[in-house]
Amino acid sequence: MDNNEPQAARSEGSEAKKQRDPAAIPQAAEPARSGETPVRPAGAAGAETGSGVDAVPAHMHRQPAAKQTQDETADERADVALRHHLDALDEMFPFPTPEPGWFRQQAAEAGRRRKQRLYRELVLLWGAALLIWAVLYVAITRKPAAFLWLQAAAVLAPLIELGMNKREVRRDDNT
Amino acid sequence: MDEQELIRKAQRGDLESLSQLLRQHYTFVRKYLLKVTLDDQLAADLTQDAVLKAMERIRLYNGQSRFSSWLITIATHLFLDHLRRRKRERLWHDQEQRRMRWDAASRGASWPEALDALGALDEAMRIPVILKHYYGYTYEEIGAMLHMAAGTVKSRVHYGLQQVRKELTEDGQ
Repeated sequence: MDNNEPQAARSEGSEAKKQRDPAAIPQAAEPARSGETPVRPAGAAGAETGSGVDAVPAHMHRQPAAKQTQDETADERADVALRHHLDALDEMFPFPTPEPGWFRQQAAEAGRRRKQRLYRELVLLWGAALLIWAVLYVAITRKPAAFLWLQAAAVLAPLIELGMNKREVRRDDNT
Repeated sequence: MDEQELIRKAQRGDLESLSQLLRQHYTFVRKYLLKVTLDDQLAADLTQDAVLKAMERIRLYNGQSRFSSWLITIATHLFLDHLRRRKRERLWHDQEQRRMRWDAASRGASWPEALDALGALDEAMRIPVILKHYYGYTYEEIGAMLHMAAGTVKSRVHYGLQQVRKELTEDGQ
């Protein structure tokens, strides 16, 4: 399964198959498109031919259609060149897929980090709950000692958080 | 085991399924990033970051898009974040392209001119152009990946391809 990308890429977007199949590339001058009526300037009808069906002078609508066809063809060419050259890029820079052990190790590490974050959030939640209870307690009992404890906690809590963050950053830098 | 089964097990915390799932998509993500960044080394670094991020966030994958599209979304946003961090991105990017060209030459391959044209595009256009014209995503799918309106994607793809076309024509002359 090391090199399953081409299949994966082809099965990607809903238009992938259509775009990769040269036969599926729409023809530049397909009837459906050339049949789209261009915007006709007022008063132009019948000016040259006088015919009710094709009253607009030929150059007034055929030229934009030709230009559109040219643009579409150029777009298709650019599209094909782009895909071809991007495929060539893959061939120019081959790379190995890491061993299954590497993925297992990373998955275990990710699990450990997720658990750590969960515990941290839990501690923060409990801390916030404790703080609210403490504030209520101080407000109700009006004890000076409780107020002092609260002051001390307000100073220490950010310091502890800062220390924990620094330790984590150091560990990330080391790994 | 099919992909859906692997995803289900990975989301339940099965590390073996998670590592197997991401190993299956590693090549796809790496090749996508190589095309978008046009930088082999950066593609390697970002692929690792994308794999790690996907492992951490696997429970957030809701199955609304294909798993590979979800990975592409993660990889794209990592690349865009990386660009935001690089102040002198344009200079750095030019240097990297020169290095890639030299690497290709040293392996006996010629650097395709369409890649120069693609490299000259701003990332805001290059990414939608690749997603549309190489991977074949619809404008709506690309819009969902890049968090922008389908109309914006369409105009970026249009102008991007026009730019590539122009560069290719100039080179051809």
